[in-house]
Amino acid sequence: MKFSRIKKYRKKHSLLSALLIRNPVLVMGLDLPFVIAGAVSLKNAAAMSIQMLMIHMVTMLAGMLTCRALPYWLRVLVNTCVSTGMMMAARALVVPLFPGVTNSLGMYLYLMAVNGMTVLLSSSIDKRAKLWPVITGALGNVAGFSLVAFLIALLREYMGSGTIWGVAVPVPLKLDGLLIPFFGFILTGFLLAGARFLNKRLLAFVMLEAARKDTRYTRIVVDSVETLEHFTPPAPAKDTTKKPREEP
Amino acid sequence: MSLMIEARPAPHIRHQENTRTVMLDAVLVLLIVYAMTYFYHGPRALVLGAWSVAVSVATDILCTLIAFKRPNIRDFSAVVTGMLLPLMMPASIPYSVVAAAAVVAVAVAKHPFGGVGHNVFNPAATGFCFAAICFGSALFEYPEPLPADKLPVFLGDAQVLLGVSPAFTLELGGVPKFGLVDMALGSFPGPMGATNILVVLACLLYLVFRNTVRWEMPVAFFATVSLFAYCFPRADVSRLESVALELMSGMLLFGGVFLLGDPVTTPKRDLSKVAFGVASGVVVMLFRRFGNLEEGMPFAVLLMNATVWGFDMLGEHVYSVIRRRRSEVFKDQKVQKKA
Repeated sequence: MKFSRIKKYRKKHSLLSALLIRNPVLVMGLDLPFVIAGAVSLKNAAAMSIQMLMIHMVTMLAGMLTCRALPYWLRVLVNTCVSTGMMMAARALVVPLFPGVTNSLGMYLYLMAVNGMTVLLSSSIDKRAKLWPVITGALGNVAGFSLVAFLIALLREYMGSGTIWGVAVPVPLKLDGLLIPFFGFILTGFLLAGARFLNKRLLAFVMLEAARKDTRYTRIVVDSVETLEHFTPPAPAKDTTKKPREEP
Repeated sequence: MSLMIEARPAPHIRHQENTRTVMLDAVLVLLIVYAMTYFYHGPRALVLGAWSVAVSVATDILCTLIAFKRPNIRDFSAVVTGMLLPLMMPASIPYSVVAAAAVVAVAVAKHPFGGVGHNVFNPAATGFCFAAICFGSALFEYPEPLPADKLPVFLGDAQVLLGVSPAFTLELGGVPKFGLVDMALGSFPGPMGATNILVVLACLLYLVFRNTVRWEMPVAFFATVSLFAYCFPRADVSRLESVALELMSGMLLFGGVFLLGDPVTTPKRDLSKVAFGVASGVVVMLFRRFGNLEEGMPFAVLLMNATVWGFDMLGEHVYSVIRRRRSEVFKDQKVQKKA
């Protein structure tokens, strides 16, 4: 396997990478409780995404500063304090925007202050890390979290409550059971399997496209399925220059 | 002397008993139960069963295709799941509820864990629990058996005469109004398959005789339940009557045979099976005594399914200790003989 090609693919599709390949929820298993218990409606998902954006971005920037000046144990404490402060600020913004969110999210609104993604990633920033990659990485993480939260919330709100963004819509069969956390787990598992499948397919497609351009591979079509087979590298051309005879 | 070696693909040792034969045994006994449900509830019971089987098999094929595998409906596992589901529900249940339960049973409880033989939780119990959470009101409204007019295949606006099940009466602390003979014959409101007590018992005997279900687990389970009911009766009746009522009401007998008896979701060793049966009996009775739903059996089954690995480990540990002791005794005897 050519790892350089995979690296190139991931660099080229950084947003796709953040959403699929390095999705903090699906791949790293971070912030699962918020998605499983909290993402039961689109409004909840929106509230959690806004909160996550504010908390994660600011804490990551704070983490960049603290990683250079403070030891690890103190860094974790300072970053948590920053994220808690940001949670309070985000709550003040989110509650007027979505009035019912305090009741529906409950303690998860406050637990965002110590969400696994922010605490783990902000404490493990490298001292040599540059500002721009940290910002884009943090944005990608928030986007990945929001994508999963919105997808699961959409399905659960539509099938479980028969509404979309609080507006009643016709639904063939209302399944209240989708709103319980157990089915949040199941849906997240299905989404994870889907993401892995998609990721594998995308990677295989990119590798195939690259291999098609490579002259060392040859195209073989068997039963109308195209495969590529690696050719053994051609033998080096024979040296035709005459060597002087060694005298005995 | 020449040695003939023939190259053949695995498996090299075959047994008459395989997934297909086990499932066919289950299908056979379930068909008998369906015959009884036809007698009590009319053709709607059969149509519900056929619909559930069709949805289960279609979901099974779809899930197998999604996993890029070749569908194999000849193992009959989806058919058994599809046949079990409506039998745990009332005859008046809407078709959509059965379909939702069948989809969840196959697509959530079976295939994500690896398909046939790998599922951690019993698919039929999972499907029923999902339906109980989503459609609780429809799932616990039981029509009277042997009505003057049989239930129409499509209910529409038809009126259904509902009755109070003995499980619900016991849940409230009352005494069911049905006689024990009526209950044994299945002439009382309840889940359409689970009320046929004598038929289910006959099915158990057949399955034990065919070695599809090992006797240790059901015996331990029913003995524990009986002991619990004898010691702590829920209704104001004699202790023996309490045992009979507990065994015949609700889904206890049916679940003990078809849900707990599932060979995939039970421990492997005999000793583990006994321990599992005893623990399941206690959990089921605790669910009945302190639970809010009148049918706690499928929930208890799911809870116990999650602990099967523990019982397997316990069984292995006990057997390894016994083996070690035996070998030590054998060594001692050898030393004594030499001396």
